[in-house]
Amino acid sequence: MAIGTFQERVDEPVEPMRRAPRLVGPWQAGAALGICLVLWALLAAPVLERNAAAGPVGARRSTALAVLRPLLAMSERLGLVGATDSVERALGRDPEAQPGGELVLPDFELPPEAYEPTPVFPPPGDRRAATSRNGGDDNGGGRSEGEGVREEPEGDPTALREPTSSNELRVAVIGDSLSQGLGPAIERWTDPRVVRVLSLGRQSTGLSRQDYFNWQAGMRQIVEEFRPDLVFILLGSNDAQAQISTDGTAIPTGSIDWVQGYRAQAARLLSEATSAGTRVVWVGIPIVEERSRWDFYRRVNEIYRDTAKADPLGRYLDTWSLFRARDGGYRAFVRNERGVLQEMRAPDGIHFTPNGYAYLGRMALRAAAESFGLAQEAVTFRL
Amino acid sequence: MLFPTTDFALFFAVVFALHWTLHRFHTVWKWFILAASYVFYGWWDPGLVWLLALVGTLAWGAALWVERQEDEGRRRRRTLVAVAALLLPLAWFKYYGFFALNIANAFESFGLRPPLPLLQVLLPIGISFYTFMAISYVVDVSRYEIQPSRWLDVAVYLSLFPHLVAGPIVRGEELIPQIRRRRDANAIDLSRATFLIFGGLFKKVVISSFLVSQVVDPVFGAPSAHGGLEVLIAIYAYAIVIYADFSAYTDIAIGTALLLGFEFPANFDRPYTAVSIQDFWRRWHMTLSRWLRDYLYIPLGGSRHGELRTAIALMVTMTLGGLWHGAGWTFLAWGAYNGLGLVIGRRRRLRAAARGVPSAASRWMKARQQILTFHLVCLGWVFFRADSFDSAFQLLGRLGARGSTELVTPAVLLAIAGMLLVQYLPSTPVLRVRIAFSRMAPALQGAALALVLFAITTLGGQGVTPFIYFRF
Repeated sequence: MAIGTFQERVDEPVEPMRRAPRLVGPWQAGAALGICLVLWALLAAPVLERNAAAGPVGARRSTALAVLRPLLAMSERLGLVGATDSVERALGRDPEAQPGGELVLPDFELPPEAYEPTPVFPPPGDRRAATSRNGGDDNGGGRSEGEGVREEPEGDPTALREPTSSNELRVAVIGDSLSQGLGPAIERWTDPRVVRVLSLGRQSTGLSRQDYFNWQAGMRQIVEEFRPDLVFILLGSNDAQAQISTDGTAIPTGSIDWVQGYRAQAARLLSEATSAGTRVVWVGIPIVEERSRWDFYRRVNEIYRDTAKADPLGRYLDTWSLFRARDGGYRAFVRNERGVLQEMRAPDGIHFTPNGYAYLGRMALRAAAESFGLAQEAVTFRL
Repeated sequence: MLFPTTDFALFFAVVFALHWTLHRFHTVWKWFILAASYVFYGWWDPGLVWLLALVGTLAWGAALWVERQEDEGRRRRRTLVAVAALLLPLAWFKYYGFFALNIANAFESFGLRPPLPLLQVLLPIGISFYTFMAISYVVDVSRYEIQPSRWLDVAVYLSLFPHLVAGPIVRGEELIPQIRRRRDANAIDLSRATFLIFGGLFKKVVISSFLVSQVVDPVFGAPSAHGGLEVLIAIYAYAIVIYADFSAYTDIAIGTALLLGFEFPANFDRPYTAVSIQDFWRRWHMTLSRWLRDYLYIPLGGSRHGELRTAIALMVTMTLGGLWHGAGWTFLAWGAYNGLGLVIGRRRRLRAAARGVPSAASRWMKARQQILTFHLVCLGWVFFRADSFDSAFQLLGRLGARGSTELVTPAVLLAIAGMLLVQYLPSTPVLRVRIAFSRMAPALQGAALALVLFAITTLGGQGVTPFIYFRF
């Protein structure tokens, strides 16, 4: 018989034990487990409270906060918060950081050319306003004068530079869980000898909840530390909720203020990149299976499209149409460029399968090639 | 409901209290544990609880139908019909989309219209596991190994929430007698249960999540961007991830069941200490291995009809075992690869026995076999993890490539080496700690567990990814 006979560690010498573990009744087991949970909840109260506060506004969040805030107060009174904060710091984490965490970019050396001013298209009117916010607030208000601000171009002002092995084209992919699939696909279809890709997507993030994760600040950090030539943005699928800023101010959904606020958030995010000469491909939210989400996603897609259109260094990629069926509906099976049918959408009706991400990655790189002249040598497929 | 979540902790607190309150009222208890299991299952999609109830009812009815037939030939035919009926939901939910797509592309390549509509059918969680348990129940009844049970007992057997989603695949003869008899309220092995649960949490929340985010996903997602060393470490890391992830689930399942007074069979026995592929399958997902042996390999003839028939039986069993893991060509290839490993290993053993080579190898030989087996298993995992053959070969092709080594950090190496090393350590010291823990006062036990849990959740960071075997 070749497979599977059921056995406990037969090859291990068994040492005779004088005593065996004591068996207990449900009261003792329940008491130990109950004490464990209560003590753990006291120890983890700061993290639990922060995570609960970061949840979508609603009954679940309110209930969780109603339970956790007194627990947090008790934990503070017992001095446990200070102790657990020390543990967090010892692990190299900031206990005051946003619940969505901080962006940690890998350590690498940028070539000297990365620090040289490179040509960009003359900034539009609002660009000047954006770049004049030097040394702005934490939400990202531009950068110091001279640092990363680039000069007037001579040729095609929007074209990406030719990548070389000594000065690779630097590409970043940011956004929500959809972008976490797009990032590796971009990496897969680019030539690592001349392109450096950072996939920096964060699950459950977007533009609505600045209190959870602030993408404008994230983009600013990416521009400062990585100086990307090209950024792909794909987010918005989590944004159908109240906007809450870093100071806790809330704008309810469905209001004009919400739309205006969201438009401003999108413009600021784009500006953080393009004001430093970075080209941006803003990938729209693809069609999803659940029709009740369509109206919202189409509206935010319009915002992304308008925002990208207003900036010469921005380009909007319409993925809604790309993955839509002929009758305008959702389809999970899509033909790739060679006409082969593939299951491209994940069973959740929102995300993609690996084949779907691969196709989306190729389309996003084609968009970069069409708009910014991404070189054929930079990718591993025919543009 | 995922095990390592607050939702499950609250659910289990309520179930634990009511379970031990109601266990004296046996029928009431059975209905309660069935309802609790349905709530657990319905947490993902309440609309699919009917399927679980349907499979349970089908298994119960089929076993009665088979049991009533005393003529052996007819009994066998009835069993085959029952097994086919139990496999129908699995075939529809798990394999329809895969076959329809491949048939559509094949037809289109000849310029023909696809005969089947392309539908993406949502895979109900755990269907592969409870279908196999249902089949084992019906076949065991047909083989006179167990008596048919009442509907409620069969429904609880298939639905009991600790094993429901990702095993272990418990057989009727192991679990149904435990459901029928009353639990001993003073025989909870708290120390074993908590060591399994907290050990499982550590493996899942700390080790698996860390390696997935740091090295596995980046490298498997874009092999071309990584050098040989990173690819090699990512392959090793995936071997650890799939072990840590899956064994964590079954450890937590077994521990949770122990707290409710149930004993489940073990599912892993230090698989990366295996000295051959055959040995590996005796140690890896042991409850699936024995299921494949008892309900597929032996009915296909086993080793009783000559070498060729044995080889065919092994190949068919393992290839279908691969397909059980997922509807994809890479899973099929992974299964066939393991089948081939078993066939070759068997031939080598038989030849060695014919030449009179002693089977007891030296320590050095054993270590060499262990290293070779680990690497053969790792090679198989590449196809298991890759989304296509292209990706798998691209990854393997990068093994000799030069490139960055920044993902090969001391923490990654420590996690891989540590998880390999613990498989070689004796379990006696752990037993000693368990004995000491079991003799502590409940308050001290609770405090110790709280500190361990805090360490796990702090080291693990944010979020818990779904268990890998949920997909199967």
